[in-house]
Amino acid sequence: MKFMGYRRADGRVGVRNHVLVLSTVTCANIVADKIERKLDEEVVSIVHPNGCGQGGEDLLQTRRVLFGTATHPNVGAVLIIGLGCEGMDTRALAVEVAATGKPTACLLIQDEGGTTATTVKGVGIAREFLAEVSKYEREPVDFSELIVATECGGSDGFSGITANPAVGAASDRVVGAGGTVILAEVTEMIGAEHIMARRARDEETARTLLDFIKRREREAAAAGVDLLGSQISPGNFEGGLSTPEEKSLGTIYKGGTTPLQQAIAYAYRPTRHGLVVMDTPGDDIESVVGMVAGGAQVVLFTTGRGSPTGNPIAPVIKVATNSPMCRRLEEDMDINAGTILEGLETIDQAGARIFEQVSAVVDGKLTKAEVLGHREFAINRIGPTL
Amino acid sequence: MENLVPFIRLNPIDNVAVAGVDIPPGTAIEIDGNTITIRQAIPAGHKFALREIAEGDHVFKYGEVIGRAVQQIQIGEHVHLHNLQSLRDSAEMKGKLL
Repeated sequence: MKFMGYRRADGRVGVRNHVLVLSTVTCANIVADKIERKLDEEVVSIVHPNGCGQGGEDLLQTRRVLFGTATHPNVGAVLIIGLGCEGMDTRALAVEVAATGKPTACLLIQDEGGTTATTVKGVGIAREFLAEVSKYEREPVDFSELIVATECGGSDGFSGITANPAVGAASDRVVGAGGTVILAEVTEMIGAEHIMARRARDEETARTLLDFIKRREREAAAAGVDLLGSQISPGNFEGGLSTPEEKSLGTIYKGGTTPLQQAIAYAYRPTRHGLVVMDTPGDDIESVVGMVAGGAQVVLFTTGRGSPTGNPIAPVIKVATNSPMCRRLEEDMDINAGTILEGLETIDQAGARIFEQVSAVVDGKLTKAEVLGHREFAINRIGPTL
Repeated sequence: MENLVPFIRLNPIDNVAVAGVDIPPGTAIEIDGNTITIRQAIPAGHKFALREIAEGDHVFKYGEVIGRAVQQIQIGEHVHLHNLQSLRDSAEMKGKLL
C-alpha cells in the first residue's frame, strides 16, 4: 500500500512540507514569533519555556525533543533561533540537524546584534527556505514509512467503547499495511500492564514496558500521588466502569490488537515496525510532542469532552466518542465515532473510516486543527529548574 | 459484531456487552440469533451479562479478563461493582506481573 509523501535527504518521509522556525530557549521565543508573524504565518514557529536552567537527563530530553522536531520529515527546512548564552548548545544542535541534509540555518540573537537585526535576517532566510521547499514534490511511498501516533484527551465514559476501539481497528489496519503505531500514556496502562506485557514480542520488550510503568508509579508516589488509587474514580464508576483492568483496557485499545514490537523512552524513534509503546506522561500535549519528536507524521486523537488540540508540524485527527459533543464542537472534530453508540456503525466500520481519513490526511488533506491553526507544544520535563 | 442495535459487544468471546443508551428492564435484545431479556435498568455505558456467569468465573470484555464474578450473574443482569471484582492483588494474579 502507498501514500504520497515528501522524501527527505536522510531518506525519511514527511506528510507536510513546513518551514519551521524553532526557538531553543525561552529568551529566543519572541524573535521566533516575530519571524512567523512577518511572514503571515506561512512558516510555523515553535516556542516553549525550556532550554536554560536545566541539567542532566532533563536537559538531554529537551534537546532530544528539539532535535527530533527540527529533523522531522514533515519539516522541509528549519531556522533555529537561540540567544547565545543558554544552557542548550544551540550551535552544536544546528550543526547536527544540518548533518541530516535538511536545509538548516541558525541565528543567535547576541551574535546578530539584537531583536530587530535577528528578526530581519531571520525573515530573509525563512523567505529563501519557503522558495526552496516549494520545489519539493510528493511521490508515492510505501506505508511502511508511516508512523501514526495515538492519544486520548478529555476522555469520557464512552471513550473506551467507541472512539478508542475504533482507533484500535484503524491501528490494526496501519500495522497490517506495514506501518507503525505508537501507543503512549503509560500511566493509563496501570491495571492492564500484565495484558500489555503478555502481548510483547519478547521478554525484554515486556520487561522494558513494565519498568516504564513501575517508574511512573514510583515517581508519582514520591510526589504524593497514588496512581493506582486515582486510576479509577467515582465518576468512572458512575459511567459504568467497574475495575482498573477494564478502564485501562479501554485506553490501550487505541493501539489495536497486534503484538507489541518495542517499548521506547520519551521522544526516541521506533526502530521496529508495528505496534510500539512510548513512555510518555498522561498530559496530552507533552505526550503528542514526544511521539512527533520520535518521528510520528500524523496523530489520531480521541476525545469525549472535546479537545481542540493540534501540533505545530504534524496533522492531528480528532475522533469524537459521542455525537452530542461532536455536533457542539463540530469545527474541531474530524470524525464522529458516536455512531457506534447509536448502532449506526460497527467498531470495525468506524475503524475503516478512520483509516481512510488517515490515508487522505497523509496525502495532504488538512485536519480541522490545521485549518484552525492549533499548534500546541510542550516538552515533558523530568528535572527541576535550576 | 451485532449491527444496528444500541449495545456494543467489544469481542466475540465477551460474556458482557455495554449499553449504548439507557436500556429499560424487560427490553429484548437479539444476539447471535438468540433473544435475551434485560433484567434491570442498564444506564448507557454500563454492562449487562450475555451469558450466565457462575460465582468465581471470569468476566470478559475486550476479549480480556476484567475481573471475577463475586456472585452468580443471570443473563441480562447488570454487571457492576456489586457482582464484579478486580483481580488485581488477588491470589490469582500473584507472580503474574513478572
